[in-house]
Amino acid sequence: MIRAAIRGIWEHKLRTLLLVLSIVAGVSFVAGSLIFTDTIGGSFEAIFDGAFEGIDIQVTPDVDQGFSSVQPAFDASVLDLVETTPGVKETWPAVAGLVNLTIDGEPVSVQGPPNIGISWEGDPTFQVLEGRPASGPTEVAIDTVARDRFELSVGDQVGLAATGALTEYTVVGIVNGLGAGPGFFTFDLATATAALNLDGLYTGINVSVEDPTAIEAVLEAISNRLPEGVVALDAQAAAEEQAAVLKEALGFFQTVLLVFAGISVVVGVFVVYNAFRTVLGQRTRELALFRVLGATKRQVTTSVLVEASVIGLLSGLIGLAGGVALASAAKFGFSLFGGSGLADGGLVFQPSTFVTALSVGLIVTLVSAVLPAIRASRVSPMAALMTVDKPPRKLTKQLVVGTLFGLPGVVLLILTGLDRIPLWAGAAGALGLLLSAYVFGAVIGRPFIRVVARVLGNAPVRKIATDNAARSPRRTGATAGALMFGVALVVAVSVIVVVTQDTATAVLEDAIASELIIQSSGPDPTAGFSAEIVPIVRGLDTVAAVQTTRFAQGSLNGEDTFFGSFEPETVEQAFKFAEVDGNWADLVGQTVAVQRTQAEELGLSVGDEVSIDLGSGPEPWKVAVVWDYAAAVDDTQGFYLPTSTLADRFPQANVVAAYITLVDGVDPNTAKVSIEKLISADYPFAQVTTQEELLADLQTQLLGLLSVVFVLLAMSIFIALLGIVLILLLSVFERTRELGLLRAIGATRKQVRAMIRWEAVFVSILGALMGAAVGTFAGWSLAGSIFGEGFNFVVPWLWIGTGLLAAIVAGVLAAILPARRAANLNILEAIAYE
Amino acid sequence: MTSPAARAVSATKIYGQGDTKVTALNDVSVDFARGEFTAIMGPSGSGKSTLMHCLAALDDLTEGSVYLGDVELTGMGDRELTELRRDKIGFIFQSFNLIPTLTAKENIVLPASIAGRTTNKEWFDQVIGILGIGDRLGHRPSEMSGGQQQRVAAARALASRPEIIFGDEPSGNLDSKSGAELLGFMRQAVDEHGQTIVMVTHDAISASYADRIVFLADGKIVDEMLEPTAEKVLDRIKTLEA
Ligand SMILES: Nc1ncnc2c1ncn2[C@@H]1O[C@H](COP(=O)(O)OP(=O)(O)OP(=O)(O)O)[C@@H](O)[C@H]1O
Ligand SMILES: [Mg+2]
Repeated sequence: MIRAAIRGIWEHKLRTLLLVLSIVAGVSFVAGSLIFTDTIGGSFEAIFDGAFEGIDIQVTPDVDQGFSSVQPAFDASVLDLVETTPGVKETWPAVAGLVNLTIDGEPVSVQGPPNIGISWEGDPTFQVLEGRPASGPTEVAIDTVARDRFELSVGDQVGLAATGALTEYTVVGIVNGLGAGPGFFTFDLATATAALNLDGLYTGINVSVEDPTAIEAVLEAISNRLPEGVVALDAQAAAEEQAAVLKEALGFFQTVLLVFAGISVVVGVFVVYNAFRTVLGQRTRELALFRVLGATKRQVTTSVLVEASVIGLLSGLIGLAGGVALASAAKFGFSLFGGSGLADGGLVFQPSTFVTALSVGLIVTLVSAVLPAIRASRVSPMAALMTVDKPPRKLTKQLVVGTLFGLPGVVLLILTGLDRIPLWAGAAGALGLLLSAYVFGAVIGRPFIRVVARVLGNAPVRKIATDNAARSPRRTGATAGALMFGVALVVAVSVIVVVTQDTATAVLEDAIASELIIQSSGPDPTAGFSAEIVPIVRGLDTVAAVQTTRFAQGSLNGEDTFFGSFEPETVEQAFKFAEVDGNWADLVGQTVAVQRTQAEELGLSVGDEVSIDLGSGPEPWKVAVVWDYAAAVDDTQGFYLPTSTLADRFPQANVVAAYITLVDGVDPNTAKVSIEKLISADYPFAQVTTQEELLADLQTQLLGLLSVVFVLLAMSIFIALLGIVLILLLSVFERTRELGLLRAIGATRKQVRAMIRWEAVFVSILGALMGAAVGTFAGWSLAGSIFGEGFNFVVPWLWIGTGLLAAIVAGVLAAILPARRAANLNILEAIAYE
Repeated sequence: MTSPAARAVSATKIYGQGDTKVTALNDVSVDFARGEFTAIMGPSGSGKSTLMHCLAALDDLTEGSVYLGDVELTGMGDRELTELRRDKIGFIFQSFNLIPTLTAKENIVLPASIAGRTTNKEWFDQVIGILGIGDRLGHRPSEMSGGQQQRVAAARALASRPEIIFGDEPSGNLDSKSGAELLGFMRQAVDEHGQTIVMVTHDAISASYADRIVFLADGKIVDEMLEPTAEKVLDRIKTLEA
C-alpha cells in the first residue's frame, strides 16, 4: 500500500507539485517571520549589551512619550538637586528634541522613525567611533543609524532645523547608535539648547554614582528630592526598557508576517483538503479494489496519510527556502523603516525554525488529508464493482453547518458595526461568516452558476461548462471558497480605505474653511515646523487670518490623551462649526474646548472643571467651549487648549499645523506660491498645501498602504488560484471519456479550451462575489467599529468591480493549463479510457 | 451514383517500431457506396476498429489515403478534420456515447449546436419518431437503459444528416432484443432515407442487417459478401477461421 502511495505521488507529478505549492506560501511566511525575528532579535541584544556603560541613573520627565511628539522638559534647577545628592559622582545634563534635516538642500522626508537632536559633550551616553564630539554652533556628530540611513560620513554637510530656521552643520564625528529606531544628531549643550529653544530647561540628566553597589540607595535619595513630573531610573533598566520598545516595533513586523502566514495557511488547508477529497473520490474504485484484495481500512487510511506526509515534508523544505527569501525581504523593509546596522549580519537560522517549518508543512497536509482519508477508508469493497455515477448527495449537512457558523457571525458583525461590542468580537464574527460562506458555497454554487449562465446565454459549450461546474457542488463551492477568503479581505480593507477617504473629504470640505494648510513634511508630522513662520505669513496682505495648532500629550481626568490647540481669535475663520456652547473668546489661560461627542461621553458642559496633567502634575482646568464641526466628523482629538498656553508651557514644541484663511477673491494657488517664496529657504519643512493637494496626498498614502496589503493578500489569492488549477486538472482527468466523445463528434480544440475556461470563470466569479459580499459586510462592521456609530458608509464599488474583473482574468489564467490538457487529449485513447 | 461515400486506397497503418511493430492495416483498398449499409467483420485484432477510425477522421494512416466523398483526408489539419467529423460524419460507439450532464435532446442536437446551427425541426421529429424516444427527450443518460442510450446515440448520428455514419459494435453491449431494435432502425434509415452506414460487428445476426459484409483478417480484406443472412455469415466465418 505504501509503495502504491509513493508511486501515486510520482505518477502524478503535476498534481503533487500543485499541492506542494499550495502549502509552500504558508510555510514560507511562518519560516520567514521566525528567521527574521531571530536575526533582528540577536543583533538587538548585542547592541544593548554595551549601551549606557558608565551611567548608573537617568533623570527624565515622568511621561511615557517614546521618541515622537513633544519632548517634555524640566527646570534646570533640578540639576542642583541631583548634583548635591550624597553618593552622586558625576552628572551630565542634556536636552533633546525632534529635528528635521536636509541633505544638499533637499528636505529628507522619508516615512519612518523621527530624527532626534540631542546635546552631548563626550560623556558616556555615546562612544565615539570616528572623529570627535561636536563643538560650536556649526558642528554635529551623528550616530551610526543616521550615518547608515542617510549615507553620511565625516566631513559632510547637513541642514538641520528644530524650532528655528534651517542651519547648516558639518559632520565631525560618528558615535555608536542603537541599531534601529530614531537617528541621533548630537551638538554641544549650548548649540542644542538654542536650536531646541530649551533655555533654562533640561530633558534629561545622566548620573554616575560613587559606589556602584549602592545605586539603589542613591536612586532613592534622588527620587525623594525630585519635583513632581520628574523621575529617576536605573540606567540599565532604562536601557532594557528602550530595547523592549524597539523590539515591540519589530514585533509589529512579526505580527504582520504571522497574520499573512495564518491567512495563507488557512487558504492552503482548504485547497489541499478539497484536492484530497476530489482525488480520493476519483480513486474510489481503485481503493475499493485494494479492499477487495484484502487491505484493511487502516491500510487505506495509512496509504493516504503517507502520500500526504510526503507532500507535507516537500512543502516544508521548499517553504524554508521561501522563508529565507521572505526574511531577507522583511529585513530590507525593516532597514527602510529604521533598522540599520541590524541588517549587517547574516540571517540567523535556528534548528527550531527548520523543525517548525517542516512541522507546519506536515501538519497542514495531514490535517487537510485526514477527513478525506477516513472517508476513503469507509469505501466498501462493493464500490469496486459499481460503475455508475453516484447520485448527488443532499446538502443538508452544509445548510446546518453553514447556519451554525453564519448566524452568530452575522450577529457579531452587526453589533460590531453598530459599535456595541469590541473589534475582536467582530473579527470572530467575520471568521464565522467566512467559514459559513465557505460551506454555503456548495449550496448556493449550483443555482448561482445557473443564473450566471442564464445571464450569459446558453451557448452550447458554455452550457456544458455550466453543467460541469454545477455537477459537484461541494467541489465547486470549496474551490470558490478558497478564493473567497482573499477577496473578502481585500474588499474589507478597501471599505476602510474608501470610508477613510470619504470622511477626510468631509472634514476638508465641511469642517475646514481655510484655503491653505501648512504642515510638516518631515518623517514625523508631529515634529511640526518653526513658529517663526507665523508672523511672516500673517504679514501678507492676501492673508486674512492664521490659525495655529500645537500638540501636547498628557492626561485628562486620569485618562491619557492627546491635546490639540485653538487660537480663539481666528478659530472661527479657520473652521466651520455647527453648534458652539460658550464663547471662543473665553478659551484663554487654563481652559479647554471639548468636542461634543467627547463632552457627552464624559458628561461635561461649559463651566465644568476637569483635571489635566501636562507632565508636571494634575491641575484644574475649566471647560470654556463645547463644539461641533459642521461635518459629521468624529475627531479623535476631542480636547483643544489655547495655543498660547501650550506655547508658554512647551517653548521647545513646534507648530503642528497652520490654517490660512485668505482674503476674499485671492487664488489659493497664487497665495501658496507667494508664501512658499517667503519661507521655503529658511523653513523647508513647512509644507504649504491647498485642500485639493491635501486630499490627493491622503489618497496616495492610502493607496500606498492598500497596495502593501494587496501584495500580501495576493499570496492567498494565488494559492486559491492554484486550487482552481488543481481541481480543473482533476476534473479534466475525471472526464477524459467525455472530452474524447466531444472531440469525436466535432468539438474543436478551441471549443474544448473555452469550455474549461468557462468552468474556471464560473468558479472564480462565484468566489469573488461571495468574497465581495462577506468583505463588504465585514468592512462595514470594521468601519463602524473604527469610525463610530453613524459614520458614512460607502460601498467600494470600484474595488469590487476591479476585483470581479481580476477574478475573471484569474479564472482564465488558471484554466490555461487544464484547458490545454483537455484540448490535447488523444481522442481514441480518451474514448477508450477507463 | 457518382463517387462512393467513403473510400480507402492502399491504406496501411503500422503501430510501434522494431520488435513491437504491429501492422494493423496492410494495404487495404475498399469503397463504401452511398446509401449502402456495410458491416465489417473479422477476428479480434484484425484491424476493424483501426480501419473505421481512419475512415472516420479519428486517426491517420501510415501510408495510403482515405476519401470522404471526393475529399481526401490525408494531410488535413486537426481543425479541418474536426469540422469534417462534426458536419459530415455520425458516430455510434459501443458504449459511453452521451454526455452525462446533458439531456437526451441536448445530446441529440449537440453536433449541430457545437457548429452553431439549429437542427431541422421536421427531420428531428422524424428521427425521434423512428427511434421511439419521444418520451425520453428530457432525461439524462443515467436515467435511461442501455438500449435507450444507444437509440439516443443513433438519433444524434442521424439528426445532422451526415454523409456517413460509423458504428463500432453499436449493439455490442445490448441484449438481443434491444440490439435487434437498434439495428432495425439503422436499416430503416438506410432504406427510407438513403443513409450510408458502416458498422463493425462480431455478431453474425447483427451483420445480417447489412447490405454487404467486408471480412478482415490480419489487416487485410479477405472476403466480401452481398445480401448476407445469418447462416451464410456463420458458414463464412467457419471457413475463414479454418
Ligand atoms: N494504439 C495502438 N497501439 C499499438 N497497437 C495497436 C493500437 N491500436 C490497435 N493496435 C493493434 O492493432 C491491431 C488491430 O487493432 P484493432 O483495434 O483495429 O482490432 P479490432 O479488429 O478492432 O479488434 P477487436 O475485435 O478486438 O476490437 C491489433 O493487433 C492491436 O493490438
Ligand atoms: Mg475493435
